[in-house]
Amino acid sequence: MIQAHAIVFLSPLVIGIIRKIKAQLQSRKGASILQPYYDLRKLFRKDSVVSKNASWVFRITPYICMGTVLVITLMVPVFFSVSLNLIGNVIVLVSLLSAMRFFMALAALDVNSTFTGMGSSREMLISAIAEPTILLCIFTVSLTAKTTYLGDIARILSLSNVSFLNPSIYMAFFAFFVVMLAENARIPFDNPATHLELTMIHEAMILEYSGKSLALMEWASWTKLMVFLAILANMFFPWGIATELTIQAISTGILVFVIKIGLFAAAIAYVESAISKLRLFKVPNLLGIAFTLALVAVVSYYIIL
Amino acid sequence: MFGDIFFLLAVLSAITGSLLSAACNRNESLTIRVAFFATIIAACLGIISAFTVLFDQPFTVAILPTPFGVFGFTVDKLSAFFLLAICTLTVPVSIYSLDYVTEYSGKYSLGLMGFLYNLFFLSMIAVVAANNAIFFLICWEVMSLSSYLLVVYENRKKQAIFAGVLYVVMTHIGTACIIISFLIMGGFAGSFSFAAFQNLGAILPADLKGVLFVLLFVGFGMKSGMMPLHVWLPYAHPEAPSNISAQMSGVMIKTGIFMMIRTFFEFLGPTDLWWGILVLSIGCLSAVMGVMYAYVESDLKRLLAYHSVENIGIILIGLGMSMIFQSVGLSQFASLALIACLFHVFNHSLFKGLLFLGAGAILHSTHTKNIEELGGLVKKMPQTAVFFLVGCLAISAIPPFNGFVSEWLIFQSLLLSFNIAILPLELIIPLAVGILALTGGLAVGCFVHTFGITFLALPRSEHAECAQEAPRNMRIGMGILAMLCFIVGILGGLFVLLLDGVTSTVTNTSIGSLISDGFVINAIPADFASFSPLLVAIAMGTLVVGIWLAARHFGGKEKVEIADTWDCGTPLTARNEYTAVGYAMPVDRVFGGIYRPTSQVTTVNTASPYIFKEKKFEGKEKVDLFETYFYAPIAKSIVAVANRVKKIQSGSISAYLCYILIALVIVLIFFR
Repeated sequence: MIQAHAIVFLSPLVIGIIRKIKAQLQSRKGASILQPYYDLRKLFRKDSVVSKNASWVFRITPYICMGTVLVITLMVPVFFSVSLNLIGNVIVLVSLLSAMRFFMALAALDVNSTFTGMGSSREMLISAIAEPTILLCIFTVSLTAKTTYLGDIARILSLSNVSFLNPSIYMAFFAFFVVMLAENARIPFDNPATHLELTMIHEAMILEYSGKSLALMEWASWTKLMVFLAILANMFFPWGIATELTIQAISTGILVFVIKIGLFAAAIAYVESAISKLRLFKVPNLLGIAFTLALVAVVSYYIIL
Repeated sequence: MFGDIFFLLAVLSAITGSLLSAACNRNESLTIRVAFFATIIAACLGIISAFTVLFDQPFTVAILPTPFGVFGFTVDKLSAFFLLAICTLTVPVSIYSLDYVTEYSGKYSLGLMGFLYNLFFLSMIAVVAANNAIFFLICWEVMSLSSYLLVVYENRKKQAIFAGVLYVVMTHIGTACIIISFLIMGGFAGSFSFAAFQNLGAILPADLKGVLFVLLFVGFGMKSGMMPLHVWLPYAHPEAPSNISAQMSGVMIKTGIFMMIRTFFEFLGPTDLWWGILVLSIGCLSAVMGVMYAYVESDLKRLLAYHSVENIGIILIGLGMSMIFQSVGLSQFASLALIACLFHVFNHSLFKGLLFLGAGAILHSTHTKNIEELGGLVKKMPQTAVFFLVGCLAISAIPPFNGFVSEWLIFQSLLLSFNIAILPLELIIPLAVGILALTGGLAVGCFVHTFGITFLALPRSEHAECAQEAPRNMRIGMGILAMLCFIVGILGGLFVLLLDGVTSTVTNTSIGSLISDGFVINAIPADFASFSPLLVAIAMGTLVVGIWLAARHFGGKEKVEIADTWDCGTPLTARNEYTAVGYAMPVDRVFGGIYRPTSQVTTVNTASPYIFKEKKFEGKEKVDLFETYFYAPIAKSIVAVANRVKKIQSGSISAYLCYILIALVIVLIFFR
């Protein structure tokens, strides 16, 4: 539970850090790393405007998105290798992500705006192509760990020393990193910094939201990014994660997790500064490469075995 | 106990219903009531009968002694499960039909509808219960023909006639394959009773077994609509009246799956490895191609028909995995995969039935099934919208609805394949995982746009503008199915236990205690994976409500203003909305190799003095890849051969007499 809280409440901070590093890389001063918190607080207090074309689907979507992402956070290990196995394994997690996406894309179609419709259409394309890669990456690590619970994967992999030697883990890691960028609407797939560009995807979908609903939608997608980072950190390189409930282990776990997340945030910021956004129809090529990488990862597992 | 009596009563009730409704054809409202209440009673009796078998003992009733053996019904657990699926769908569909068929009042004969509807139901339950190969073939043929007549029910529509002919031709090719293989099997078994066919695999030579497998797979696959034998399905299902589409797509195509399980496992088993691989590959092909064609379709019922192809693919993936596990001797996993397969059969009948009924309700009140002309229906038909949304969520495998539970099990059976160390499989199965995931991702996108374009935003035509909520009985029918989608979803653990009773008779391995304790579904071993549908539903429910309360509590009062959508200064109308074609365009472009989109370019002279010629681009309709590259050449060559043969048919009697003489001489030479 504490881990879930950590994911939810630290996610704006991570976003703030990514933005700060990006600003520094671009020789700007940048806003404070706490800025996302201020934004959320401001949005929660604002009145909202709802389109007159919208139906109940549009209104309930923010709550469904946030609720679903909270269920997801219960299933992800952060600094201690335990997740609520009772709810389900990683496939349940993937399906909950698609539940979230389903409603987000529906709400985008609900308001009769061309921008939101376009965002919705593109989001569905990208996530559909990204989905096989996610599952194959999971397949790879679950082959190694012989389980599909995120917590157990982290524990088993950190206790054994397979992952230091096994190239399939590294390949799966890179494939998953690419997919993480795609799923969370980061450059080179989408530009999170703008919503008035013809390239927009995620920001276009939530264009019509305002006030409290917008705050929830934003927070939900930040949390989703944090979930992906936690999976990256703990499934592929679970070094240092606490496997027993002692103060020492937990504090190491927290420290290592913070370092890892910091590194990933820096990597994202670097990628976003160094690479420009891809044309929409080039995106499948990159995702195709990620898929191939993931497939090779699975096959190489068998070959090495 | 008394399962046989209930079953016979169900048969009797359906027969009475069909005859009575034909008899009182003149009085339309009476016909409707007689026909559909008879089916409702029959289906309820069928459900009771199925439950008695599932929880108690199988039964056999003999009906008629014939030269081919005794015709009769044997309902074992596998039959009972399919009986349950058929009857569970039939009850809500019949309730729905009470109001739906009034549309045909005065236009088409309702007595015929009642007669055929009951006959169709009767033939389906007879197909799953028949205990003799010849009797089975008779029932199978009745099922094909009654469904054919129902497809062409709206017989003044040209497309319906075309669809019907295509269906009847394709289905008979399938039946021919089945007849051949049953005759061969009957020859080896010495009898046509299915009891004698059991464990025939031990007697048959290995090569012949392979041939029989292929014949049966083609024959039953034709009915199931698997690729590449699916071409009749996207024509026939949309043209049939919607209650019939629901029945055909929901349960009729599953009778093919039923017979596959029966023949592959029980008659020809133990299965060979390559059989499983073939079934798995065809399953993958159907799943991914089905969803891709559905994605770019804008005819609502055709779209749903393609989704049936997709779901049959998913079911076949489960079946294929089960056969693979069985052939390498891992019977626990074989049971798991078979449970997944059967669970998906049941789930698909629920949500696809629901979606077709929803499509029928839309057709009923807007008179169009082209989703480009719909929109905004969520305000005009609020209840239908909720039911349809449940169907969309279920088919997109989104928890806590039923579609996800079975898809989860299918994923587990694929992931558990690491227990098999055979090299080609180690490449095929990861690919299958990828394909299944891609299918899932595309299905989500497809149903977002189906629901979004149909129900949300502004109405795109007058039809949609004037839409009204569906009549009461239609809503009841859809409501029952929507409830079932949810209940089966959250009680998936109990359902799995029920299914274990069925699969253990097929694979001889019971895994009930391993796989489920009623609330948590486990893979084998349980520390590989588990999932509690109920808990997911509770967690989602509490957290969504919790967030809502928290946002109200901490966020303070929120004033909601109703205003225009942000429109860049130009008022938005329905013409600004995203269209179905537009929505699917990115997928169309990315998978261009499969769709082969073509557009017609015409040059038009213009009146402007500066621009002389203008080019017009018009997108052409998508053609099924298999139709162009598989069926068209076959049809062409058949026509060519027929044209050659035509030459000997000169029309003169003396020539024909000469042919007879020649034929006689040849026969005499060979069979002296």
